[in-house]
Amino acid sequence: MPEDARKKFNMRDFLQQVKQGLGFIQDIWIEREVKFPGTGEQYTEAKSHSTRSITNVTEMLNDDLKYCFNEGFFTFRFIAAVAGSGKTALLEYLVTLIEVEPSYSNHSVVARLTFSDLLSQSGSQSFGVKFYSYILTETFWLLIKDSSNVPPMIKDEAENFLKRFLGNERFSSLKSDSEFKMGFTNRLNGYLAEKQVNFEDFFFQIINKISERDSSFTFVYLIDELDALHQDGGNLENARSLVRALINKASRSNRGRIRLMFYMVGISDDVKNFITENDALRTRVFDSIIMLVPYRKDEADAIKKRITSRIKDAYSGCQDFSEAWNKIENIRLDPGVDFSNLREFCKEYASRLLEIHENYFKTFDRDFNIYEEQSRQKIEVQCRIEWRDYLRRSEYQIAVETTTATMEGHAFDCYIKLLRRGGLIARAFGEAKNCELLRGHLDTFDKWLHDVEFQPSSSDGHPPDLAFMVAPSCSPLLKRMLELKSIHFIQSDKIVFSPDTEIPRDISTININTADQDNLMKVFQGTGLRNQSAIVNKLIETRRNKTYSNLDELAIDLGIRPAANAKEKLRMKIERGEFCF
Amino acid sequence: MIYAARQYDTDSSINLFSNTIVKFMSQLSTEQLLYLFYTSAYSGDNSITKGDVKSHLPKDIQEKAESLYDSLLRQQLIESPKKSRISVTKNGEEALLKNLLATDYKFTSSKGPKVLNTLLSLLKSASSNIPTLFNEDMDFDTFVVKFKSIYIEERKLQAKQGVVVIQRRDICRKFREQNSISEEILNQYFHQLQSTGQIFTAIGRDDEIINWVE
Repeated sequence: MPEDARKKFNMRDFLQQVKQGLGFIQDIWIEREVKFPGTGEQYTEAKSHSTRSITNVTEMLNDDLKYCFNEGFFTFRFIAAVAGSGKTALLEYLVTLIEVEPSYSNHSVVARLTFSDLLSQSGSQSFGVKFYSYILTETFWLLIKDSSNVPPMIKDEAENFLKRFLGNERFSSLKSDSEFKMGFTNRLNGYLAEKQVNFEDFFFQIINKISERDSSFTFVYLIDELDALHQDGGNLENARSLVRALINKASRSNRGRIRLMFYMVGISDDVKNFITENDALRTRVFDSIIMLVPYRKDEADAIKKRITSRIKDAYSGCQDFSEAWNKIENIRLDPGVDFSNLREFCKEYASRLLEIHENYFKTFDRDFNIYEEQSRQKIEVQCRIEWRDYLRRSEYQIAVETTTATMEGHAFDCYIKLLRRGGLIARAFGEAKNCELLRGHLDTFDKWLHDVEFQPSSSDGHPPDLAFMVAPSCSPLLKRMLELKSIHFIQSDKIVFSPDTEIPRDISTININTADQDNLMKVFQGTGLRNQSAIVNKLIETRRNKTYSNLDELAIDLGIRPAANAKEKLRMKIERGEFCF
Repeated sequence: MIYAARQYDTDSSINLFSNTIVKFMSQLSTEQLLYLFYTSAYSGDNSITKGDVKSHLPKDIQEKAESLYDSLLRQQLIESPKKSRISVTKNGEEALLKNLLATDYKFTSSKGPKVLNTLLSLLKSASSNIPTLFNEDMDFDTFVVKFKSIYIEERKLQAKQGVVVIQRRDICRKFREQNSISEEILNQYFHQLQSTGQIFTAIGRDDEIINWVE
């Protein structure tokens, strides 16, 4: 695929993902402020378990992880919010934070579960039996499955434990399904249903057994869709008692020192109902709740900026950029009117951007070739550093491809060979992106590297293959993911030569078509007009259906007479640059 | 509410005192409201015995009858001109009317003509006193300030208890308990808050959930 077509494909893919608005979208992740409960303001609120200070979601989650994984304390949380506020995104972000930290990911099982799946388990057992069967089968699957990444001694311990419990024959049957999850979990569920044991005890026993082998091993259960319980009052009450008993048992186990983490997630109404109907439960969990707000205006603005800055970087060299950018700047989404939560915002904003994206940026980006060339030079410098021990010797040489190199059907922006006496001994691959790096960019590049059998580790004196991604910026989380895949990130500013990429506008000027209510009030201040708040409300109403381009039109709609002093004062405000259309 | 007080008091010093009382008395608990209502409904010759009122109260609040009597007497909503007989004062009638208009209380047993006739009479009184009962002059800006202040207090309280779910019905009820505003104007202003993007609502399990746009 030619570079320009690929760039449009990537950007379209990215915008489509934003438009779906589901789960954790790494490329638009923004920090959300977290405050101690009770400010009365519209902020996400939570207390830290450790009592360390937390100011944003990343700090809060990292604090929970440290509290549980490093300090070994039982960690229980409810996440409550109205739909579309980012509950599932928060869970997925937590999973990602575990994945990018090998000391966590190599010493844990992280089970993603839902109450609706739990209730759809076959069988007529009580809620408590279903609950523990469900989490036990998930736990053993994660520990024993063929592709499990837990250390071998942990896998052995889990297998021995299960062998003693089930007997050799049944265990062998179970093992035969260790590549096929549904077969494994169905079979184990069936075996567990026949056993007359206390499942709660059984669950804590396996945790203790594993902890004896690896004291840092942590069990994480993230359970979504609490609302499923509300379809049956009996389940609800049983679930309350079960959660209360679980918390009691874990808190009393070695004075709360048990590497066990539970996050339960539901819409605010349901979490509130779940805990307030049972005072014994409420007193245990009321200070463990993460209460997410549907959105804050500054959060929506931050997401908007993350998206548009990429578009600007990616296409500012296109001839039609200026016109398209103007349209992008004029996208107006009124909070509370056009969207009520972050998901709605993402859906609506990305839809509008996609429309513009499809109709513009058709011309070739003149700047990209220069950026690509500059990136090749930077990668070459970096290769010389990484391979310096070899290049000191005269038999080693570097050979740089001057254009895009195609291998296994993939066009790499940069390809450098390390030669030993003329023979290929190691390779370096590079990919340049002239906008903030996207997760999709990494995934594609990673797949390409896999296809060309990229060998990043050096052994027996054999030099390693190298891989680089070059971009103007990259989020810390994505940088961490690059590191884990042995891909180097090279920061390189975008060079903009096009004269039409500057957007002339004083940002302090209030745009009558997009400003919020407070700013609109400023527009009419000092004009002598009566009942300005009603005028502003009327304007907010009328501009939903039209975009104003001049004062005459605005004055007519707002009932300001042509000869009125107020109109003249508004005209002077426009001349002074206080507001514009 | 202030206007209502003026109807009965001409002397300005009494008026000032009465305003304070009316303002204070406007927030009756359901139990106080029932006590006041039954005192009014079952007063034969403009007065009734405390024992009679108690006998008409729902069983679960009968034991609180004495304290309810004390609190209403203190607020000058009832009086006891003759020993052991009580009657509703003018202020009491006013408070009764206002609180009945705002209450969500539902009777759980059938009631006789005295109760129904008292309700009819209060309805008639309400229809001719609407302008004086409600301060229709409250402008939107004042409404926003007051409504937001109740919202913030509610948010603080709920956050400390765990989960914030501010339901439209609840907060509107609280607003009406603390301010004299007709339901019609309150609804109109509420929609204005929405259409101007100052608040937004999400569909909750039982009711709309309100969030302030910040």
